[in-house]
Amino acid sequence: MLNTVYRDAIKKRDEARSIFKGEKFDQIIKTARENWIDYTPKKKDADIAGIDSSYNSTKFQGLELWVVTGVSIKSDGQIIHESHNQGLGQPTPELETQASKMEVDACINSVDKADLVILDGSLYSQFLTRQTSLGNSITSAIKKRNNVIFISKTSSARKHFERLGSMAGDIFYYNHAVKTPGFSRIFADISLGPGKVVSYVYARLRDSTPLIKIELLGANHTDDEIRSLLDMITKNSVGGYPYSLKLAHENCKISNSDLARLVSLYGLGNEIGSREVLS
Amino acid sequence: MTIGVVIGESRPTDVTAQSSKPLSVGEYVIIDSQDGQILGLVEKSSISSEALTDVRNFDEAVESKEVADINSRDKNYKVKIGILGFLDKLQKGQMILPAVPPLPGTSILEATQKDLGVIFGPVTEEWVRIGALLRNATIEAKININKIVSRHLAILAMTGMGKSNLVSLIARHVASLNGTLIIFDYHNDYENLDVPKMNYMLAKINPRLLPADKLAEVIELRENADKQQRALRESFTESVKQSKDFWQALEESAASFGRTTKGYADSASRVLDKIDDAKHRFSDILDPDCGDPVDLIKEGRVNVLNISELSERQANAGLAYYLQELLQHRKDAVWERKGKSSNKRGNKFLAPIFVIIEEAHVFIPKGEHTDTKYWASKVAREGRKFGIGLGVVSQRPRNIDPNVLSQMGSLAIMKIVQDDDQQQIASAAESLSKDLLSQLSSLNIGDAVLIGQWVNLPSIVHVDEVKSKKSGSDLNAVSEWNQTDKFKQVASESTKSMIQKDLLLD
Repeated sequence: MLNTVYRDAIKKRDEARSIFKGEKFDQIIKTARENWIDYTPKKKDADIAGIDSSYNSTKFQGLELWVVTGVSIKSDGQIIHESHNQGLGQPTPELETQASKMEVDACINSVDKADLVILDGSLYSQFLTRQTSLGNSITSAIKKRNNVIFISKTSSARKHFERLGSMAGDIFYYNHAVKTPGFSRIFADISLGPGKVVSYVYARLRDSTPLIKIELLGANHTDDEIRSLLDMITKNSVGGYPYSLKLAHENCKISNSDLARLVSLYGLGNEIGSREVLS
Repeated sequence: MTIGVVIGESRPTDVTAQSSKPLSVGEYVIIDSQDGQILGLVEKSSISSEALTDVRNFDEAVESKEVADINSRDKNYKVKIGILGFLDKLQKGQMILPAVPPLPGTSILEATQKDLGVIFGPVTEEWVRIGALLRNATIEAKININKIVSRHLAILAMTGMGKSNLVSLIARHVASLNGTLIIFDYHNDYENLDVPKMNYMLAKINPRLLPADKLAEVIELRENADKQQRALRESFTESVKQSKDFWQALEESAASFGRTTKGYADSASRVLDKIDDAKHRFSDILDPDCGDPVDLIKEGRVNVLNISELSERQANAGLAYYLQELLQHRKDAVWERKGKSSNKRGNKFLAPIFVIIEEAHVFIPKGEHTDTKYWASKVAREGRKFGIGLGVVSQRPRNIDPNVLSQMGSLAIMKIVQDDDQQQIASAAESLSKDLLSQLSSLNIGDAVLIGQWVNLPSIVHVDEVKSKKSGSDLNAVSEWNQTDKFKQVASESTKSMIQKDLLLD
């Protein structure tokens, strides 16, 4: 890289780090602490299903070899539902849509077979904003037993501290404000209109573990409801993250080496060079 | 019962398998291949947990353990299986490896008594029981005695791992077969060996029978004392050897040499001192009237020669003499049988004999010449033809001459921790795989890897304990100290009771 870039970075360092200090930062941190409800979850037995999907593809000479998988799996390794799709050519619909559809199918198939169903990601941004065509399917699946939640490890949402001039996502400030287990007050986002209200909290299951963002459909959720949810999630969590979601991810992920094997199975090794997929 | 499936890349010599349960290293399994059942030996076994991989701290480890416990798919049991050959051929004593590797997806089956019994426990008389397979404990492990007599044996292990137990076991079997076994016992470990009609004796050296340079060694003349060496050589005449009083004749001869040869008076005087010293210090060992020490060895018996009283140099000279004579006796016997012998002396050993040298690294050292090493390597080379087998026992394989070690056709290797010992063994034993070698440090007392011609297949066995064996074990110092105290009390009590009260002084 150009040396001048480094020189410029050194000059801008103090300005960049102002996000971590200053009056505005302190004010947000103070508010975050006020929003925080200390709670150490108790382990509560629950049958939890984790749902995740994955897709990957390799393009060559105007063609595309693609694969999509989705899975619902319990903490004990029992697979409730799995689906996949693959093809050569242009994927229709788009891979992200196919993956989201698989997650919805997995959710529909899991709500009656688990006490709690956890989807990896965000209800708001994935199903109610980007994949709106799936909005109705997922909301009706959720409403069937009201036992579906969404969990993400990262979030760029900045609704909590927007009015205080926050520059980073809400999760950043909660991470700096508190290290103890508990959860933030419930925030209900009504911007998408009635029937698509999403409530969310930031939570920490154990001391010094990373924060997670939990989203639920609908308004009027109570702190006790969140406490009960955290109790259930904590029972089978590792490092502050639900194990069933980790298992779901491990089961459905499609690595480049998986794709390279598919290239070989399709007999496309000579066309595409099966090792090229890995790079 | 299927206990695993071949996965990944397989080769004609080994396969990797995913098993349903943890398998032990050294366990035998059947690979149900497309070309027939193949016998395999588990050479490497690993268990991993998906949940307990990449754990960052203790709390996470505890949480991961909980979820790993409930997830039946969490554990991954992987084994590397060395291919030993087609089962049916092995049962007929032939080792045939598959030309085509077993296909991935091939089932791995548990090996049964029926599968292994014929291979590891043949019923002919040359096969004797030595223990049981370590990981398939119901299968008897036998060794072929014929092969150790004809192709030699090395028993290598750290101290206290069961070398002398194995020697005792072999001695018992040889005794039961009316064979001749000679153990050179450097630490007097086998004095109480519980074997019928054992012939235990102190090793003796008849100085009359030695060449001058060996006599110089046994009376401990310094190697670089050239003038003393010459004085002895010149004094040690044929008439001295034949004389009735050997020592007196030798002393007179040395004194006379000192008087008559210019510049040798001091050296001859020093030799005289050494002769006098040896006469007194080694009177039990150096015996000019004992005849041929080899005559003390009895055919058809287990003979234990206690060489613990001998210094290292004396023991070396003695061992070399015994080995040389034993080889010659066997040569004469074989030639006579073939009608080629012109030797008129009666042949003592008409049947093959087996010689065991304890602490072999002392007598057959790497990188230096000893007479024992010369004769041991000669026996190792020629023994097969003339029916004399050599067994070397050592806890320091790295210090044994590699040429001799590599001629040992069979090996029993017990726990060995030192890397250079393991490397020496690896270079001496081609059939010992790297994975099997890495197991040597994890063997327990009495466990042994048997490889070479005395077994049909490399195997890890637990050697039977010779229950009545009273040799080679460590002393129980604490218990013996307690006993000493009790003896003292008994002694003082018994003495007091014998003294009349009125004789006691205040």
